[in-house]
This record gives sequence, C-alpha cells and structure tokens, in this order.
Amino acid sequence: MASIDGYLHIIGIEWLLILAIVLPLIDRPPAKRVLSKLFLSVLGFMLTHFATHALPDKLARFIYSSQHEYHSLKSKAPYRT
Amino acid sequence: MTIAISTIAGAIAACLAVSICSLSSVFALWLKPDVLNRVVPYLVALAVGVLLGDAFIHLIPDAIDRHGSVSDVCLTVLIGVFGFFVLEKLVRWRHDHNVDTTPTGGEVMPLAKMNLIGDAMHNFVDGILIAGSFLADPALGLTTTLAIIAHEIPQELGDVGALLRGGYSPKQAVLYNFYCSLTVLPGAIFTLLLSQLAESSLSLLLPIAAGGFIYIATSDLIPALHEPCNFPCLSGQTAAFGFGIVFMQFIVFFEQFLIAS
Repeated sequence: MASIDGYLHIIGIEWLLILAIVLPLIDRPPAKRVLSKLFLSVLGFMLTHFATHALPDKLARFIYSSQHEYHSLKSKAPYRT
Repeated sequence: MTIAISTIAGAIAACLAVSICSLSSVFALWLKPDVLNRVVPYLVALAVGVLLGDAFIHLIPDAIDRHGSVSDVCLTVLIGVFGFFVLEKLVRWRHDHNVDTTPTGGEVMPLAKMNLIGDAMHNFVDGILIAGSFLADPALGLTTTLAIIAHEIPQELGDVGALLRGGYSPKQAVLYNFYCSLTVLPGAIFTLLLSQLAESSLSLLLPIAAGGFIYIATSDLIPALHEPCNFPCLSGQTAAFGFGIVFMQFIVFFEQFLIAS
C-alpha cells in the first residue's frame, strides 16, 4: 500500500496530465485562463512540496540512513505530508 | 465508520486514472478529416461489440451475483431499455428532430446525447466499484482499477466513434467524453460517504446501465452500420464488432487472474 505522500504525488501528476491534454482542446478564453491558472497552481504546489518536503527528506535519508535514531524518529509519524 | 485518508486518496487517484483513459481517444484529433471519416464506421462497430459485451458479459452477471434473482435483474435491464427509449423520444420531441440516422448541418443526433448519459452512468458505477474495493482492501482496489482501465480504453474509443457518428466535432467528442468520465469521482465520493447505500444501489444501477448500453447499441448504432454495403465495410465492421466482444471476454479472464493472484 502506497503512503499518503505517494497517493498525493500520483493525484498531482494525474491533474497535470489531464489539464495538459484538455487545455489545447478548449476554445473559450475565460475557461482556458482558469484552467491555465489551475495547472500552474497544481504545478506550484507539487514543486513546493518537492522543494520543502520530498527533497529534504531524501537528503536526510541519504545522510542519516545508517543512524538507528533517525529510523526510530521517522517511524513515529506515519501520516506526515 | 472512520476511513483512512490514504484510502480516500487511493480511491481518488484510481478514479483520476480512469478519467485519463477517456482522453486516450485524443488521437482522433490528429487524424485528417477524410481518414477520420473512414475510421469512424469501424469505431462504431467496435463500440457495438464493446457496449454489448460490457452489458452481457460484465454488468448483468455482476448484477445477478449481487442481487441473486435473475428475473429481477432482467426486469431492471428492461426498465433500463424502456427508460432510454423514453429518454430518446423526449430528446427527439424536445428538439423536433426527424428520425434520420445521418447528422445534417451540424445537428447533434439524440444517439450522441444518449451515449453521453449512458457513459456517465457507467462511469458513476465504476466510481462506486473502485471506492468500494478500496474500502475493502487497497490491493483489491488496485486490481479493480486495473480491470476497469482495461475495459475503459476500448470503450472510450468506441464511445468517441459513436459521438462522431452522432454529429459532434472531434474536439467536442473528446471533451464531452472526458466530462462524462469525470462522473467516476462523484461515484467514488458517494461510496466513501455512504458505503452501505452505495453497495445496495449497485444492484439497481448496474442493470439500468446495461439496459442503456443494449438500447444504444441495438437501436442507434447497429442501424448506422448498415449504410455502406460493400465487402471491405462488411469484413472490417464484422471484425471490429467481434473484436469488441472478444476483448470484453478477455477482460473477464484478466479480472479472474488478478483476483486469483
């Protein structure tokens, strides 16, 4: 079973894919503008999440993976996003 | 009953994956209009095979499994057929259409709108199935999603063929088909909120969706296939029709394999 983080990444990628395919099909400028903003918002959210959580987490795991204390600390918060 | 956030997120991710499948028909936009016109009759034949296969191989047996009474399910299928007949009559009466089976001057035929309604209902049921299986077990949710995606891709291709036949432009056909596929999300949310009610509503929704598919395939799509009467059309459309049925039967084996493994 994937973690909540994994599922949120999948949902974000799916939204980006849907919006990237649907945007060129829409002719009305207001709808196009709204969907473009939604695309940028989802992309921004995902990049922010990557920069502030996923990347530091990966770096911490790389640096401290041999430390027992790091694993015991991580296991206490299973639903962190 | 409390539901884990990961279960909700998993069900929503699976629903969006099913919606993305409906956009697989976007390839129709890259084809030249004359090529598309040649391809559409074969897509319609594929739609007939897939719709009938889905109704007779998936939806009706599944409804019988859940409900237990064959005669009740058959009656509900008939109610579905009757309901879609009345709906089509209302659409024709409301728009004052004649009964031609060819679209003229940018008009959209009732069969296209009926197809959208049937597809929306079918996707709503898919949402219920996906969320229901995620509630039972995330692994079962994944296998159910895979099985639904496997039958969704040919069905969406066929649906777009039917929408093009009904008078929609390729862009409109792809977009409207996608909008209908989004009903998978309300189906899943409905199940996550009211799992007991959703489970019992399946025994009604499955045969009604089957009735809609049978009505659309037999009354609207099959007559449209009789128009060009030459050997290439005969052989190609027969092969596409048969392929649709065989593919849906293959999906049953695939589902059984996934459940067994």
